[in-house]
Amino acid sequence: MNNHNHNNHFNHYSNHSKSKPEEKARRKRRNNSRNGAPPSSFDWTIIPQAAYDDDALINKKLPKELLLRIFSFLDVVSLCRCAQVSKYWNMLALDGSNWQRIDLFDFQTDVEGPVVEYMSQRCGGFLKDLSLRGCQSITDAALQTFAQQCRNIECLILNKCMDVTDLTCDSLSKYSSKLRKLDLASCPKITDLSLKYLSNTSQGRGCQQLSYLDISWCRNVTNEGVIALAEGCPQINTFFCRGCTQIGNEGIEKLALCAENLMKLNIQHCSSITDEAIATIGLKCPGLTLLCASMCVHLTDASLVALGQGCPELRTLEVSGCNLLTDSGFQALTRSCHNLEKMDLEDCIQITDATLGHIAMYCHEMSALSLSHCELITDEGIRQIGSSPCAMEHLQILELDNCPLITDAALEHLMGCQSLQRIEIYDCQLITRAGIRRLRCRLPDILVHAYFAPVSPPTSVGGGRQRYCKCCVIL
Amino acid sequence: MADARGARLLADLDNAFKRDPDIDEYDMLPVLEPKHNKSPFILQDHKLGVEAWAVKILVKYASQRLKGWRSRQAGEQFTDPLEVSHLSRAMLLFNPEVYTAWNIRKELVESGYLSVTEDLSFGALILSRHPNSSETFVHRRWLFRQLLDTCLSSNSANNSPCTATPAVNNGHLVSMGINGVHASVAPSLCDNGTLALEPSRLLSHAHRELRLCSQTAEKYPCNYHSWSHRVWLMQQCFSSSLEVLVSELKATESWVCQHISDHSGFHYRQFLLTELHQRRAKLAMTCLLNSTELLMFEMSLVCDLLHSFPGHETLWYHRRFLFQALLKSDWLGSKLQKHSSNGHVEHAQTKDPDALKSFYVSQEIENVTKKELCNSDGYQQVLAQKYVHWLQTL
Repeated sequence: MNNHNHNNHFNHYSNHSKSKPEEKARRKRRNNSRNGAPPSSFDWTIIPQAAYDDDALINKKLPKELLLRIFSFLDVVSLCRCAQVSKYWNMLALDGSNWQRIDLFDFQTDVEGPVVEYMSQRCGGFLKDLSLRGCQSITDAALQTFAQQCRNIECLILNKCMDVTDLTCDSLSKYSSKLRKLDLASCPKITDLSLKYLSNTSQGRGCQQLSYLDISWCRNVTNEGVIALAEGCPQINTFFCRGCTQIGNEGIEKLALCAENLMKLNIQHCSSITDEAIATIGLKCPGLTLLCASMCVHLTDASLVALGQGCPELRTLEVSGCNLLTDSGFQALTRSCHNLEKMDLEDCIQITDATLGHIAMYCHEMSALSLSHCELITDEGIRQIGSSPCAMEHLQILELDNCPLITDAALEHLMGCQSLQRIEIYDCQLITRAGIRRLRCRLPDILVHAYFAPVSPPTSVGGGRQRYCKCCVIL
Repeated sequence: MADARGARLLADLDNAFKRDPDIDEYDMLPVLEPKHNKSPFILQDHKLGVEAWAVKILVKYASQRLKGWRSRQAGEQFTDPLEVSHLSRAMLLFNPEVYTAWNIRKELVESGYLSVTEDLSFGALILSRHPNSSETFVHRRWLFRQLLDTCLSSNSANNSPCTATPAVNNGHLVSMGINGVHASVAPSLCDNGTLALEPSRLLSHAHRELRLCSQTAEKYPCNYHSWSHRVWLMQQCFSSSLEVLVSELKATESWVCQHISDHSGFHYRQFLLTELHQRRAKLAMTCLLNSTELLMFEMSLVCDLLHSFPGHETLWYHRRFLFQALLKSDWLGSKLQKHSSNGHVEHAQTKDPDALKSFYVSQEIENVTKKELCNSDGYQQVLAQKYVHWLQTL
């Protein structure tokens, strides 16, 4: 069960359509039945006498509101099971307020159209958050019913629903004006039309509040769709289009121009992207916190300069595979972006120790750094990282696999990094078992990933816990 | 902890195959512990070496993930199909008898994530190290079935404007107009591009299979699975065409002489001879060969070998088969004719077949006693004696 946002639920509950006066009336009627007066008609809103006669103390001790509250924590399967326990529980379990967030993740292909349709009818306006990830049999028709019935939907995940086409987005644009988050990753039938539907704000349609859109691996989407999206949904702050190789500079630039709040952008594998697009981003998106441009091989230092100038809030930068990037670009970047926490520089083969020096000097929040295959890195660069202010407290993950010049000395330099959780040193052939052993002595909780067999953690010396003898209480 | 290395080892293996898609041989290197922090995969000249310590970790990791994927555990069921095929590859390279992994590959082939040719090449790689792997051969037969089916469907879809023999629903190459091992006929008959491609492609696959069978039979003595596969190829792919059978007979003759203790090889020849004998009428017509003569030639071959290489049980069993086959065949008839030419005339015709049979049995016993029983080799004598006993029970 996903983490439940209790605040949301509570707020909604208080805005419940079942208003307070109705509650009081119901309580009054319940008290009446407790006094022995039989219920006048077979009314499902009255707690039946049977509920009090049955042996389940829970029904006697807990008022309805509390039971509802308990049910609100349950997942779909448990709720359905509870609904089978008794008529009273059936009524409570299937109460709409418990079905605001539904995650059908575990059912995958077993979920078919009729299920979604039935659910939509039961939940109606309560449903705000629905995940149908991996449910491959879901069709447009079912989703249309869903959109019509659940007009308050805010968050919809259709990741890997293979049969979903543009018609679904048409339905969403007609009925789901409150949609904020939409995940259509790995739905291969989605095309530009979907984005046009979603952003078509004429005639009171469209999803104007759309702030999160994921169309990764929807390979049919091109710049046209992105441009339409940018124009119609200016509230976009998170846009993921991994693997959409047809999306290029045009689309991304338009998005950067229109979406003032753009914070997270993932254009991995969109290999036609060049420095121009990143320059526009640098100019227009001051709030950018995450940029993933891995495998956009045409990017050069100019991009990094632009980002440095324009995006000081940048926290995550992934540019693995961009082998044209050099030290000067990273110097410009790190000088301005002091909030960088996570950097993936795998395969940026021109990087040298100079870059590590700059990171050490300017990026004091650095917690995850990947330098796989950066073959020019030496122990000196690691020394600079290890002695930087970030290292002591923040550095958690360091990947140095396939950096052939790294030796045991580098491990020595890292001994002061108290927060270091994991270090990858596969294929660093100059590192020896002894070096690793010394590191693990200083940092006992660290995971060292190398080809050597991992050493099992030493058992704690002396009894850490009290031992109990079966006959005595404490030894 | 071992899990972390598992993922890395899988990545290393995938990289090795990516760097060199033409790997044709692999083996384990006897390195029990990693001395250096170095990748255990060594690639040179299309040969892949894997250090022994890595194998267990890799296989364990692969089997865990495949099990998770198969049983649709949360988090595992969304594994990319390419990844799944890599996992199954890692598993099968070192443990080809796990047919769950082969079945996973079947699923991938059916959903189009893996091509049949790719899987056939992979199977060939596995056979280079595990020539006696029965599951690999079973899987290959399934793949061939798929190939034949797609070829047929494309054949019927392109309403054959060619003059090749239309395919009847028995899915045999021969029925599509290809006779024997000479492929040149069908393609030229047809002007439809795809049709012209398919049968010759199939034929080249079939030839590759035959080569594979020979190689695996060479690598592993008495390779039952390999020879059974060869039999299956004859029946399904070449449709037991007579020319093919005859050419196979010739091809295996020298092999069998060099591997006189390989029972599977001899059994294959028995299969060929039986097939040819069953269709001896057509054989006589098309190839102008007398199946009985083939049997007799085989008999003389075996006797020859028996004499040159005493003490090989396989040869004696082959002799048993041949003798029985000859008894059942027209040998009697031809012998009768011989007798009649010698002048025993009508008497021979009315002679009781049983009496004739006992006559030949006793003749055979005489032959054996004369030649083999007085052989100096002790074991040969034992075998010969057994043969005689067997003859007496006939």
